[in-house]
Amino acid sequence: MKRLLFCLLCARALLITATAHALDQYLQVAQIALAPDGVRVELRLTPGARVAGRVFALIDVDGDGQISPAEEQAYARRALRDVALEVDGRRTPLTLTGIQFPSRREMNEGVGAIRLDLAAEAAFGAAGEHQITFRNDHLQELGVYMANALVPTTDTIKITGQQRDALQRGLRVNFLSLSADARAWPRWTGVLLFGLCLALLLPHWLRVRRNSAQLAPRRGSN
Amino acid sequence: MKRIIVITALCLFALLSAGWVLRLAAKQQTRKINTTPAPPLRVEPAKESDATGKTVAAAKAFLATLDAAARARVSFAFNSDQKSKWSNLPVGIYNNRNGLRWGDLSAAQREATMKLLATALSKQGLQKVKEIMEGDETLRPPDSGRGGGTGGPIFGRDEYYLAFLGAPSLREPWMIQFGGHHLAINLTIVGKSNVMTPSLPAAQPTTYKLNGETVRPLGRENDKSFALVNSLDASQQKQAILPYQVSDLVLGPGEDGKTIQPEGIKASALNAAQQNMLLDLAHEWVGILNDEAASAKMAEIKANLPETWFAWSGPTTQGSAAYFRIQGPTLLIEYAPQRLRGGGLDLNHLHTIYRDPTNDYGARLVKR
Repeated sequence: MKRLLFCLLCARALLITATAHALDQYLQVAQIALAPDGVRVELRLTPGARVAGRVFALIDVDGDGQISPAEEQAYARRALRDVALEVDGRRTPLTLTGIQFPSRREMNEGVGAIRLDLAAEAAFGAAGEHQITFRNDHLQELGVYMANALVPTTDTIKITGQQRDALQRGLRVNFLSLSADARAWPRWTGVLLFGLCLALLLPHWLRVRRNSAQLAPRRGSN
Repeated sequence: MKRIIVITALCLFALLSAGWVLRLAAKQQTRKINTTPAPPLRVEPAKESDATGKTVAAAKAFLATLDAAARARVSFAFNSDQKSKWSNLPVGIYNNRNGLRWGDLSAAQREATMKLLATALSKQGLQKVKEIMEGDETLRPPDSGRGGGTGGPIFGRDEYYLAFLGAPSLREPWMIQFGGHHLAINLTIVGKSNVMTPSLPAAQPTTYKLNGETVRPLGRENDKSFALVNSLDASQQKQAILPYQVSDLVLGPGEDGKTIQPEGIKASALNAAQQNMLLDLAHEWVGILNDEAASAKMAEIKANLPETWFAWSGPTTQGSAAYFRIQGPTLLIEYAPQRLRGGGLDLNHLHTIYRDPTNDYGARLVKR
């Protein structure tokens, strides 16, 4: 009976090997969304079937074969410590806003994705060029990385460039921000200021014209 | 004193004018990248004689082969969460597929399914679907009955599922979902419009023998992409080739509703011949759908060509494993070789995805 079970397990391992979905790697995908008030990062961590046991052991610290909410939190915080965000050259802390863990079975099959939602507050209120740099150094010995900026869902931010290292551990995003404050100005503010300038300039212009008109006949008589 | 007032006023005026000009320029710039959702598309009514009409008839003919219980298993509400339950993974690993399993269908029901797919898809599209299914059959262990049976992945042509979301109709929205390992066809039909995004044609193995013939389910995609990247001159390649490795699809299954920042070379920087090669490459995905609907989609892609990007990652020698992406305002195609058995990216295992960021599942046709 044990032999039969062993054969079945071997057959299953072979079948999983045949599907070969990054078996011996830890796929780590970061998707970065920029908003006027900050940066959101969705981190999707999928250990392949052959490394799932190692990752599971890191999560299941008490070794009871289950992942408790406390262990989920602890692992998420560990992953969080391994990633870094800089906004305009300044280290900016990311906070965990959501955690989702797969079942142990899904992890063993190599299809279970750990999803971590991270966020950082940053006011991109000042119009002009900005830059964020994201780096993921989580479990480098196993990891393969992907990092992409999403097209912003607001028309106040325009991405102008992305640079990555060859392994996609680091992603730098350059973007333009159209100041939300500037956009919030009442439409008539400009008109009022223009009118004020005109009111200041008009008397002077009229005086200059009048003086020119008075001088003109004299020049003509000479 | 008067002079000071005048100079101050002039400076203020100049500053305000400059501010206005800059603000107008910024507004102009953001208008170009306005990310507000694309407006709804007009739904044209379908006729019995057009592609939708024929597909509706074929779907009804299939449903007529079923008893009440099977009809209930194959039918879902159009807005049900079944819509996003598709994957590249095989049954046994991904178990959320629903509908009727190919292996459970009678001969008459299979024939009716094939007639439905032959009507909804093009000749080459149907061929591609069959080749992907037959490729999966080569992964099935001999004499294994139903695939693995040990709780692991299950392979073979029997493990593909058909489902309908909504009822086949000339007017109301409905959807055909057909897929299994390495295949997801999501065809939304609303009136005359047929939308086949998101869909996932993939393959493993990518080359196999069937009845003495060599079969390459995604062979043309591979060959045309290498021809295109090698038609680029050094300066164009410098723009198109990404200096980093891409290990998988960026917007694969489960990544609905996202748009990544485009990269690579813009089609406007390609010459006419290269642009035609790009369109021809895109047609390998678009052309899975019936000719009438594919022509309409290709016209849209052609109109958006100046705003379409082509990006490549990996070697450019034919036969290498390389990733590429075509991305436009209404198009995303990704082609991603996968790793096999601890090695590098392997051409014998491919994932691809075909999306329309504005109209996946016919979003622009049904949100009214």
